Amino acid sequence: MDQKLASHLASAEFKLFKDEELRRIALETVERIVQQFNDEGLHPVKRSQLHSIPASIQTQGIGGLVELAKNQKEKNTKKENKKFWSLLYDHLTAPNDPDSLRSIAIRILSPMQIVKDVKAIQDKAEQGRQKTHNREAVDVFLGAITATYFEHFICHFYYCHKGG
Amino acid sequence: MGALDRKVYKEIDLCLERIYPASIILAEKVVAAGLDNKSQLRGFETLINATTRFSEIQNYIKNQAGKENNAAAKWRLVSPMMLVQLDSLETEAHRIAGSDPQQILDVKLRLARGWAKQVVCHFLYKRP
Repeated sequence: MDQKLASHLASAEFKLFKDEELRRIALETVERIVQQFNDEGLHPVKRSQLHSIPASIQTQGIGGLVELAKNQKEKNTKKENKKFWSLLYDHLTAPNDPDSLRSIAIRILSPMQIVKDVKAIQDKAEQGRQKTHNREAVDVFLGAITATYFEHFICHFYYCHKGG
Repeated sequence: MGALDRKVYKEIDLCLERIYPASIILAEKVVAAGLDNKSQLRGFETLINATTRFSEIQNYIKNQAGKENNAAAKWRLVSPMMLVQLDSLETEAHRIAGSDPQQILDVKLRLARGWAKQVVCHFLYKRP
């Protein structure tokens, strides 16, 4: 693992990030989803829809959650459930959406020079190496935040759902 | 939690003294909400004393208020005030601890534990 990333993940700064900034991002995501549901006149999904999220993260990490979202969005017949899982799937995977979890990770890791802009690299081989390095760094970072991120997400979702 | 500077402990105590009246109002509201099952608040206090992350407390409150049972309806009567008070504790922690991330985390938890003790003690004193 990238040394800079490893020491960042062990730092108090990262703990504080998970406690505050990550919470803020998760809350904004939930509120965006709730807003989209409201705009389309959809009922909120039931609490039980979210029950499998922590277990899938615990057993298979973010990959497990992506798999779950993919299966659920294809499987569920209720319009609300399909919509919820589609939005969640996009949030987890969309490469060009600035609000996707991957884009957020890149935005956080770039100023620390852990992830670098590959367009600025001329050499093709070096560009390829950097791409791989970036992808690995983002994966490690997502692995370190996913459980906490979805704790914030789920609890706020429950809270919004009940009109708290 | 690590040891803090003596001045920081003093600031924490002063902050807890300042927020005491608001904690009492919250505790009265908890009593009025009928959240009278002692284990509800004791569970809350246990979580606060055991957790290593401040946001776990906020998430616990949201989770309780977001459930589909009788206690959740009562939690929903008090959760907005609880969350507002916790937000202000977070702001106070930044003011007290300055820019040191570890110190901010420690101060937040100490404030939350002091706050919970104020709320739960008054609740136990006042509940029918």
